[in-house]
Amino acid sequence: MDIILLLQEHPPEDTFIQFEIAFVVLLTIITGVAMVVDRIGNRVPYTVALVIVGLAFTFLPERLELDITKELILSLLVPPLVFEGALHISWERLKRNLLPILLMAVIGVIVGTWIVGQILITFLDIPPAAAFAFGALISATDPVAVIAFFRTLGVSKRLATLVEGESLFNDGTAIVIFNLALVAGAAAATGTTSDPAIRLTLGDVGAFLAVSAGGLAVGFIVSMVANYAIFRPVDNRLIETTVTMVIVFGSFLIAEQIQVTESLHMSGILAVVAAGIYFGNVTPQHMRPGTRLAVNSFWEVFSFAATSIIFLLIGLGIDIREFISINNLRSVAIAVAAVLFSRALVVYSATWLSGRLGTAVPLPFRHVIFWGGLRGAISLALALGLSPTQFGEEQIGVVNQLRLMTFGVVLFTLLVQGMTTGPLLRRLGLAEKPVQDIERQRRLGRLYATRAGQQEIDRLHDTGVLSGTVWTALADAYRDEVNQRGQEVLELLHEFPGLEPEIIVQARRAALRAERTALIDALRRDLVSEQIQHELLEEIDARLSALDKIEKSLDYQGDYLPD
Amino acid sequence: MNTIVCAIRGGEASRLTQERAIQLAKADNSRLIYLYVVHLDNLGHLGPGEVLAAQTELAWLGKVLLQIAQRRASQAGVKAETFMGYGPVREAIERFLQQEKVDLLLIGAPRQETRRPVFPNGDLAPFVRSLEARTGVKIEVVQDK
Repeated sequence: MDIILLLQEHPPEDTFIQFEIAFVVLLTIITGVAMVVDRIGNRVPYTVALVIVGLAFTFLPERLELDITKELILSLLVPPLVFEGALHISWERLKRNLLPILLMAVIGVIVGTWIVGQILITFLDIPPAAAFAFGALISATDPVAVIAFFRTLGVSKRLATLVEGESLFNDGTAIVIFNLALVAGAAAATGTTSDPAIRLTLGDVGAFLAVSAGGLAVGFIVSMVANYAIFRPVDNRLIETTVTMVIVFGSFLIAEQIQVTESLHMSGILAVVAAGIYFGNVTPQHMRPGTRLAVNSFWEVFSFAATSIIFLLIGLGIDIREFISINNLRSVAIAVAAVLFSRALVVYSATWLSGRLGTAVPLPFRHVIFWGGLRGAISLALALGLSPTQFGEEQIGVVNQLRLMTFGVVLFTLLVQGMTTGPLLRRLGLAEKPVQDIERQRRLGRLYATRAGQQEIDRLHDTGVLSGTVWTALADAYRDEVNQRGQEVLELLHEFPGLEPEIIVQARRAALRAERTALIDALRRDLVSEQIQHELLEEIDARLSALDKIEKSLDYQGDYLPD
Repeated sequence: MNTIVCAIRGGEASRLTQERAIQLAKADNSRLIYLYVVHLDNLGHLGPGEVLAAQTELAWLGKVLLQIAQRRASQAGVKAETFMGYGPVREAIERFLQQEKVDLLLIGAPRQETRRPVFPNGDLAPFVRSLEARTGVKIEVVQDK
């Protein structure tokens, strides 16, 4: 199914149906993969599993062909992802880590682009503009798979902030430098300049700053205006959730429409980053907790779907058979080596410099930032956006080579680095706490299940199915088992007292949810009016929201006094 | 009869502090009071409708933690009382020490790698000294083993 061709060749109503079918097929595959990954205990990152499934489609007799365009990914799928990522970044935490983040995401991207470019020029004889364009597009890190590990293993929030913060900003930086390289390449290709080498001029630096700062300013202004014009005066979760969509796509579009130079516009991605950070840190103060939950859930689902589609498209977009050629394998191997080398240099030197300037980054964190620097959607979208004659009529093959190298690097980072980041976190001792956490879940799960079994036995007795000595024996056996499971939970608490408040909060949340369900039932039974139900639901939502904050603040690693 | 106040919050140091308090109370047959302070300082910004909800939930969490501590003491043969304070931790502790006749305050030592310690960079020792001077109450900081 070639969606874009269908759009061009068929009447609108047919096209829409075909598009809808493709969409349903994609979502069905995504759901299936998510269920399998969940079933096997999330041992493989979900995004990696999607890529593998996508790759498997290469071997089907009839390929599922989807025309992945730069516009589809960059304008429609990436903004929600970036927004959702920025939404949860705490400004306070970001501010404390801004120095290493900016060193890696700005200076690091520039240096990394240069290193990768030079290696490609030396070993693959690629024109400078193309080599630097590749260096830039491959600098954008994609932390989705790594962050999934962080969440499962519960690593330090600071490490997550460093990885997510770097990724949010380097996306924008990479796109800007990529466009600068293309402009320089176009000048060389059209003969505007006779010098094939890329030279950084003061004008380029100015353009870079204007594109980046302009994008950030647009996002900030759009989000701020929405905050004052909509979120402060309006109290309606449907309207407020809808407005967030306007903020995301509106800030992206506005920034992309403002030309900085003849061939460069402001950064739409950075606009979304700024809009997300502002929205996530300032706007919730003017929202009801229920609305905030609704907005967060909406973007969580949107982001999940967008991420899933992107990673599945990555798998579908790669024809694994193309790698079976010595020349192509060599190009990919050199590209992977260049990317790893430049990443190591950038991460270790930027964090070292940051330490010298007052914000130290622990060594184990540096290893994770280096190895967890996976590449994904942005790199792929930029590579796909290159036109065949981007670097001149004589360099048609170069664009294909760049795409192949991009796919190769993305694939390598997802499969090799993505699959080994979890073990690395454990080896570095950054995932110690979750062992208790996982054990807590396991023991509570057993207790919960055994209690359910006990209740079922009692129900069978009450309905007359079980009676006499059979029931007595079963009831006794279940009572013993429940006691034993309860004892196991108590032992765990004794071993890890820090879990105590977490279990209390967890139980409280479950109880509040049950209260919420009871209120919904109360309206059905005409026990309360809609207005009273709404009022009471708001109260419970506020408590649930407060519990989330309390849970986040729990850092029970040994102190009485609040951190 | 001496009065021992044990400030709790939950967590490992809190458990150690409770064990130390029970040990001391048992040895001297002292009166034991568990103190929990409800404070919103660490929850970040709270919206208009959230302050009350957060305070209610923290108080609920504190009530459960106090009951657990009380039950633990009872199992060890010590009858403990509980008290819930409100407001910034330092002020709430000081207020309580001034209103009750207390001989010893036990608190768990905060670890320095905690995100936003109330007593960063060895700030705890000066606080303990100044609180002792202001209230006349002896303070023991229970360290993680």
